[in-house]
Formats: sequence, structure tokens, C-alpha cells
Amino acid sequence: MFTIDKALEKEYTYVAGEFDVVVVGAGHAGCEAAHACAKMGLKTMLFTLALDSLANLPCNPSIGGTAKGQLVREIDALGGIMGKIADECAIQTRMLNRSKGPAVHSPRAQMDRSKYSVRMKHALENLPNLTIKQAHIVSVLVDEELTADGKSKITGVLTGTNAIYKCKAVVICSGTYMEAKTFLGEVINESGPDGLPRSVGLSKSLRDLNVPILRFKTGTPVRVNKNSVDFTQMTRQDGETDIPPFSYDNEMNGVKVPSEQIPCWSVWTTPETKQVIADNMHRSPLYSGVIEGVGPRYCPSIEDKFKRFSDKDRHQIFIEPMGENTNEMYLQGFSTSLPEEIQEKMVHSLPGLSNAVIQRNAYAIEYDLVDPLSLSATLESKIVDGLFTAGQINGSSGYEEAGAQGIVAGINAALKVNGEEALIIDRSEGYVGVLIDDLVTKGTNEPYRMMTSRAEYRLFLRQDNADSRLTPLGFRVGLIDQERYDRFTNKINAIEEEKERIRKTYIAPSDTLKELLESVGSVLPVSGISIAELIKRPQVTYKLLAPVDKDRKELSDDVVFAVETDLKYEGYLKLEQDKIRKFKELETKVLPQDICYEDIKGLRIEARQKLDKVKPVNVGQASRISGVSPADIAVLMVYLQTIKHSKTTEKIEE
Amino acid sequence: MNDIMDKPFCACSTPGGASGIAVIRLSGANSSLVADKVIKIIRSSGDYKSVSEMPGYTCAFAHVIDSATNQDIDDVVVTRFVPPYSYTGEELVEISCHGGSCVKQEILRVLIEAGARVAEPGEFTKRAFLNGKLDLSQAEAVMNVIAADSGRALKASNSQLNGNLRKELDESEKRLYEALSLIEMIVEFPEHDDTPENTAHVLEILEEVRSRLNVLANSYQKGRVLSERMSIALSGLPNSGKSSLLNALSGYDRAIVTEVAGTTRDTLEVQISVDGIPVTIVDTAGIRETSDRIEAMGVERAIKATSESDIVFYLVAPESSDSEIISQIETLLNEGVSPEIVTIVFSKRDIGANSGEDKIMERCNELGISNSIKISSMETISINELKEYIVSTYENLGGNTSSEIIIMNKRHAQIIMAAIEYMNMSISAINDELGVDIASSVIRSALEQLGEITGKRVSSELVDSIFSRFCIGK
Repeated sequence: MFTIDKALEKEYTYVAGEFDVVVVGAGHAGCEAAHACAKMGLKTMLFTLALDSLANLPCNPSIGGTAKGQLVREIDALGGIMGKIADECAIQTRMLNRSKGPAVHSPRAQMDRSKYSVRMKHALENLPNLTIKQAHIVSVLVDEELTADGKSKITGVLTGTNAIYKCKAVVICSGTYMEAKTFLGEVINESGPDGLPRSVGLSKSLRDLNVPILRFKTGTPVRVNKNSVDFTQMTRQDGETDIPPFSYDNEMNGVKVPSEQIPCWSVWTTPETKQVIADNMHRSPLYSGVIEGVGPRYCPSIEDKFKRFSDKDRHQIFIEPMGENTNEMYLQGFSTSLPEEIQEKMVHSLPGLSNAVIQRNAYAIEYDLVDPLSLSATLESKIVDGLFTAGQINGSSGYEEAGAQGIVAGINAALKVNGEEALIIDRSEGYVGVLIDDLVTKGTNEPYRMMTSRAEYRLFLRQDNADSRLTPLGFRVGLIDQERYDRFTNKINAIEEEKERIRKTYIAPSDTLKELLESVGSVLPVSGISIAELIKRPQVTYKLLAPVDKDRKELSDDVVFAVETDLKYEGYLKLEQDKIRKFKELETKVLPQDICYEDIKGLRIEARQKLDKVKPVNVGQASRISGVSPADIAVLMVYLQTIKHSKTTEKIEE
Repeated sequence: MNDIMDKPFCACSTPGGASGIAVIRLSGANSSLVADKVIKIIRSSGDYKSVSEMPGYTCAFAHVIDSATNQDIDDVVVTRFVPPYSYTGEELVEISCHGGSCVKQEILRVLIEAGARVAEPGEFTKRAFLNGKLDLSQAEAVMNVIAADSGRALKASNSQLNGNLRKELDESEKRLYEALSLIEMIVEFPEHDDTPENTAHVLEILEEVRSRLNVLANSYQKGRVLSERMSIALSGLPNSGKSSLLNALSGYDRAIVTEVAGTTRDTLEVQISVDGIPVTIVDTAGIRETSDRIEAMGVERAIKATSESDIVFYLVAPESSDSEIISQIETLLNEGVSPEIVTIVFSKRDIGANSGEDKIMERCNELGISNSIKISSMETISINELKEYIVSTYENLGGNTSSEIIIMNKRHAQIIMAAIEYMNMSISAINDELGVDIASSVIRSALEQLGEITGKRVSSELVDSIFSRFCIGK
């Protein structure tokens, strides 16, 4: 047991301070976790290896995108900070999938990378209860005694400069830094991303406490100087200004996305690109077997793409600005770990980039992480009491996935320290819930990327209604203040009132109505019809009907959008609500934590082992464990009935 | 903790009532030890051996003994199965005994006294399911096999038991996942120019799956007949030869045939198999005005049975008055009998023809009844013609489906209908350009429905409801 006393045995080691919660790592997960704890009134310490790279965007200079945009909205709805900083730093904004139905509308914004880091740092520095410090955490410290249920218990952390910080809970958000190695062809460096120092020792201290450690890899593409790029050979992609900001608070306060925006560009790889890669594949550390970590399927390197989709002759590359005060451009879709010399050839094979000057090389990075199957849905370790983890350390990839876990881990660490009931967001309440449930129930064997298809109830989990789903929870735990909550309830009331009004407002057939309807290919009804019914017709919008809806009040865009969506898709939403009800039934069938799965006859061996490992809290969670079949679930349910039955019999006998 | 449930359980697995022999099953851990207490295997040397000493999958001649009185109950043949290769996947002992009800009861009694418990309804199959021996659709098919008492029903059940239905549904599921993944491509990678923008291919897949499911759903019209029997009502004036026809079809004298009109006072049912199709023939009371209160009730029941049947044979005897016949047929149709299922049978042709045949058929054609046949109950030829008519009616149920798989289970039929409804919704969501997100949500609902049959998705109510429908001992 590495206790505080034991740490103090080493010469020059001293106790430097005492906090409620210590957050290790100030990336997107760490910033949200620290922000949540401090806002909830806990004395919080946030450690970072490099203060100048706080909330770094070491890969793509954008926030949001499909499913990820929904996550940012959810973080904001809970009272997080990512959406607000992103709104301040946006240089191009878009709503992806606009033509494909409201459930998959996904906001995304290009970020001014260095501004994002500076603004986040400054916002956190000004936060009461929060201390930010540059330090290297080399170990967690635990109590000499085990808890009643046999777990080690967190008492503090130790820095590389011999300082002990006592605390009641630790949230580790180590990103890709733990025992990191970067790969650039044959050149291997013991380094974190962007040449930053890596974390050494922390991973071992977790391993010593029996926390299972895995190893993943990921990568990032080159950055080129925009002055060396010929944009005439590229397709221009402009932003959209008629969309809401990420933050509901900003949206309700009338803050708009920037009206001046910077364009992105796209090109296709050429036959030459393919040839260069094919000729040099043997120099990729991934294929020569030097990299042990598992890479992401959904964000593969360019050599991976050519290898895996060998029938495809070309792939699309996006060229994105890194900020207003830099010439660096990011080549999305072109990540590689091939050597520097080859990277030059690859980039120069692309249209418009034949003379491109590479400012930063692409590289792959390998890092230690915690097997998320060892976590509960609060993101607390099932092995070490008071140890929370969030972000890439849990096997995810992406800033938004990290931020979402960060806020949940932060909230739960704070609730635990305060002795309050945990906050668990389930799969029907948010992408946050889907993300965490997937990680802690199914585990992952590659960096996990959020996708809308992972959500069973995505008609309901929309970017426009994250506030109605999560803001009451944020208010309950104290992350949303009264003023914002009042604005939120006003908005919800306005939506409900307007829905009610247009359900009751009947309009008679008229020439104006006929004209309006025919303009979108719809026909005039024979008798009076409610506005709500008309909106259910394909192509008919709320806005279209303005000329015939005399009593209409001026309403904000977000209210109009919600009214229209709720009504237009009413039937489908109701179907989904029915599914959610069924889902909740299984979620409420509690599985006692002391069940001995080995003893349940009829469970297949694999199911017994998986159930024993995950220790699901309810039948719903058990049913999602891979390797547990529906027949196993049937056995479990029969088993639950029999213990319930035998308990009642025992009572009667008594 | 739950020792009651841990006890081996037993039941008679052959149908109730007296029979030549019967089979009693005992399943669960330590079944053979329980059996040891009551079963003595006689060796050629004259001494005894116990069931637990028997190697698995062997049989032995034995005595069942009431250990309290030391009296022999029956001479039996014992077969021992060892896990995991038994019907239930557990240790299992089968006792083939003599079929008298008293013998069976006695053997069950001594087994229970020896530490077994009575099986719950469907428990043997439930255990087989829980031990991974059967999937849900196979388990349900077991029930149909047990209930099947005709060749075709058995064939349909067996095909399901072997997982043909499952294979077919797996194929539909595969196609639906293909459609979903196309949609997900469109949604997840919106900016990529090589992402398919149009949904034509998705639509194609959805329509294909819908027609596959429609074939299955239609097959239930046949399947219903196979599991619940096809019903044929014999209708007509008193003494038109209904009972004679019933006897000719069933091959033995079931109904009393007399020369006195009104002999059949109530509906009389006979279950027969026509070329493998299970058929219930309902011989209805003659439909006529009557002052006899009991007979009047019979007439009422006759009308009800007629309107609920799959085929109505309306018999016309040579001597009947054509106007009376016509008015009675009109009455039947007014009572809700659909004209397409009615065939006019001119009976007793061995005696002579009805003089009003042409007039009757003319009116019938106006009413929508086009089938007629002339028979003599004594002649096998015309009876065969009727049987062929029954077979062809069966073949045409649910359209001339080429489906090898016949849905026999009402729950399956309902689920497939619900899935088809979701397919319709998803197709119109795409056609109305409501958004692919809506389409994908509804496709997922369809998949969830199908999962209820294949057992890929299980809810607690489902498991219980399926197994409670089994009779004890299966």
C-alpha cells in the first residue's frame, strides 16, 4: 500500500496542501471535471503538465460534428463549460445533416486553437474554489486500511517534486499522456502529444492497486503553412451563420455565431498518393509491428484506409484553418505514422499542396489507459474507492467524449465527497449516458468514438432538446444557477403553450392557404384544420403558415424549432417513448451486487465470467454485456424470480 | 436457498387417458438417485442394480416398487440420459411404463415420495431452452409438434424446429442491418463526397424485406389451419344427408343416420385428416323453423358454427323444394356467412336429381356462390372430389404462397404483422422525405419485433408466457 506515511518516508517529501477533489490533467475531461467540482462548491485542485497547453486541441481544430455536437450541447445543458468557450473561439460554424432529419442535426465549429486554450485557462483561473497548478503527478496515495467492501481508498496524490496533496477523491484525466510514446516512421520518442512531456509513474501506481491497464494508439496529421497552398485547386467549404451557438445560455441570451467566417477546403488523394504509401508501407511502425496499441477504426490513418479499403483508389482530405492568428492548416483525414521524408512526398502528391510547407509532422501516439470495464457508471473505479477517471484514459477518443465524461466524473466526485446520491444519466437521457454505459458495460478494444447510431433513442436525443433532457439534472446538482434555470423553464413553458395554441387553432380553407400549401406541393383540406395537423404534412413548416396564423406571437428560433419538431414527428416520437418505457423496465430490475454468478446453473460459462467481471447493477445493463445472450438473460430473470419467491417463502415460514 | 426448485421434477410426457404404454420423465440433478429409491433393475443373475449405475444412453428392464409397502407397481423399461446430451440438457431418466392412468399416477406418486417434485407446465422445454438446447422459436415449435396430429402440421412444425423460420428471419434481419448501415453512412460522414446521398438503395432493401415478411405473414392463414384445424360446416335442410356425408368423410359411423328429419339436434364435430390437413367437420343441426325450444337453440348454434367456418358445404337433397332451399341460403348469407366459402352439394344423387338444380344455381350465382358439386355419399368417387376440393381450398389460403415456412403460431404471426407495419412506416418516411433518422428509428423497431421471435431479444413476460402454454411434462 503506497500510503501518505510511506511517501513521507522518502527524504524531502512534504505535505503541500489538502483539497476535496484533485483533478489530474487539464485537457477537455479535466477542465470539465474541475469546473464542475469548483462550481459545486468543493475545494478543487487541477494539475496540468503544461499550463500553456491547457485544454489543448492537439488534433483537429474543431469541436462538435455528428454525435459530438450533441455531446457538446449536453455538456452545456448540464452546466459545463466547453460549449461556452467553443462559442467564443469559433471561426467557422456549420449544422451538419440539416437535410437528414432533426435527430441527426449536428452542430460543428472550427476553433481558433490557441485562443481556445487561453480562454479556457483564463475562465478556470477566475473560478472560485479552484486552484490550477503545473505539476507532474507520479502516484496516487491510498489509505492503509481497506474499505468495508475490500477496496483501496484514495487519500492523496504525490508530485514529481515531492509534494503530497491530500484529498478525498481524485479524478484522473491523463488523456494520451500516461507512458506515452510517439512514432514518426523509425523515430520513436518518449513524449506526449505536440512534443509535451509525458506522464511517468502514475500508470504503474494504478497497476499496483490492481487497476487493469490497457494500451491504445491514435494519430494526428500534418499541419501546413497556408501561404504555400494553392487553394484554386480545392473545393471551398463555407460556414453557415443561421445556426444556434453551442451554449443554451448564449442561445437564450441572443448570442449569435460569428458573422465573418473562415472557409475550409477539400481535395481528393491522387494515384501518386496511393503509390507513395504502397511503396513505403514497410516503414510504417504500425505494420512493422513496433506499435502494440490498438488504433481507432473510425479515425484511421491514411495508410490504414488504403490498406483496409483497397478497392478505393482515393480518399477525401479536408484542409482546415487552425486559427485567426496563425497560418497553420490542418489536413483532416491524412493522419499517418510514416517517416518524415515520406510525409513530404505524400503531402506533395495532393492537389494544391505540391509546394506545401509542412510546419508540423504527423505522428502516431501510444498510451496507457484504464480498462473501462473496471468502472461503474459514475466513472468511479470499482477497485479503488474515490478514484474517478474520465476521457481518453477510459478508452474514448475525441474532445467532446472526454468533456462529457469529465463533467459526469466531476459531478459524481463532488457528490461522493458531499455524501450525496450519485448522478447516473441513462441511455434514454443523453448521448453522455450512451457513451458511459457503452464504455463501462461493453468495454472497448479501440479508441471509442461517439456516433449517433450508438444511441437507440436518437429521435429523442437531439441537439435542440438537450436542455429539456439534462438542465433539470444540472440544476439539481448545483451546476445550473437559479437565473439560468428560470430562463430555461420559461423556454419550456413557451414551447408547451405554443404547441397547445396551434393544436387548438383551426383555420378555414382559403385562397391564401391554398396558395401556401400548393407552393410546397400540398393540397388544400376540404374543411377547417388545426395548424398542428398541417405541420405534420411533409414540407409544411411553421414559418410557412405565418400568413394564415393571425394570433401568432413573436417567438425565438429555438422555441419555434422545438414546437415544429415535436409536432411534425409526434407519432414517431411517441413510438420512441414507448421503447424508452420498456427500456426503463429492465433498468429498474435491480441485480444484487453480491450475486454469485458462478452458482447460477443454466448460465453459459462465458456469461458467468462476463457478468462477474462487469457486475451489472440491473438486468438492462446485464443484457448489454457482450457475451451475455438473451437466453442468459432469461435464466437471470428466472433466477431473480426464484430468489424473490424463496424470500417470500422464508418470510411466511418465519 | 431454493431447494424446491433444485429438486428433480417429473411428469408423464405422453397424453392423458389410457394407452398401451406411457412415458414418465424425471429431469434435474440427481434424477438417477431419486429413481434409485423406487426402481430395481433386474440382472440376469437375479440380483438388482440401480439406475445411477447405468451408463448414459442405455435401457434396462426394471420394476417400479413402492418402497413403503415393498410392492411392485409396474414392469418398466428405464432409459438414462446424462448431461449435457439430454432433451433438457440435464440428467434425465425416462420410464416407459404401462399406460393405465392408475399405473401412471402410482409411479408419479412414488417418485415424488422419493424426492422429486411435479413439473410445472412446459418445464421440460423451458429447461431445454434455459440450458441453451433450443432457441425460443424452436421451443415454441415443440409445442406445435406436440399439438400436431396431422402430417402437414408436423412437417411445418418440424421445419420451424430445425430453425427454418429463424434462418428466414435472420436473412431479413441481415438486410435490415444493411439498410441501417447505409443510413448511418449518410448520417455519420455527411461531408464526404463519396457518401451515398440518395436513399434509393435503402428503399429497395426495405421493399424487399417487406415482401419477404408478407409471404411469411400470409402463410399464417395456412398455419392457422394446421395448428387450429380447418373447419368445414355441413349445412342444409333436415334430412339433406349431412350426417351421411360426415360419416363418409370420416370413414366411420359417428353420427346417427336415420330417416327422421331433425335427428341431429345439436352441432356434432368430427376431427379428421384430409390428405394431411387437419379438419374439423361440424355437422350442424338442420336449419328450420321449429317450435321445439332445444332444437331452436341448436339451430342458433348451427348458424354460428356455419359463419365461423372455413368451408360450408350446403347440402341439397333431390326431394327438397327449390324455393325453400333458396330462402334458407339467403338466410345464411344474411346471418353473416360469406358466399365465397359456400359450396352447394347436391346430395343423394344415387336416388335422383333435384328438379330445381338450375334454378337454385342461378340464384346462388347472383348471391356470389359459384361452386357446386354433385355427390352420392355411398360413392367413393364423389367423396374424393370433395376431399380434393378441401385440399385445394387449403392450398389457396393466404395466396398461392411458395413459402416453405408456414407460420403456425399466432404470436409469430402478430409479430410479423407488426414488423410489416414498421416496414410500411419506414418506407413512407423515406418517400415523404421525413428524414432518414425517422426511417432508421422505425427500422430498429422492426428489428426488435423480429428479435422477439428469434429470441435475440427477450422480455420477462415473453419467457413466462411462452412456457406457461406448454402442458405439463413436455
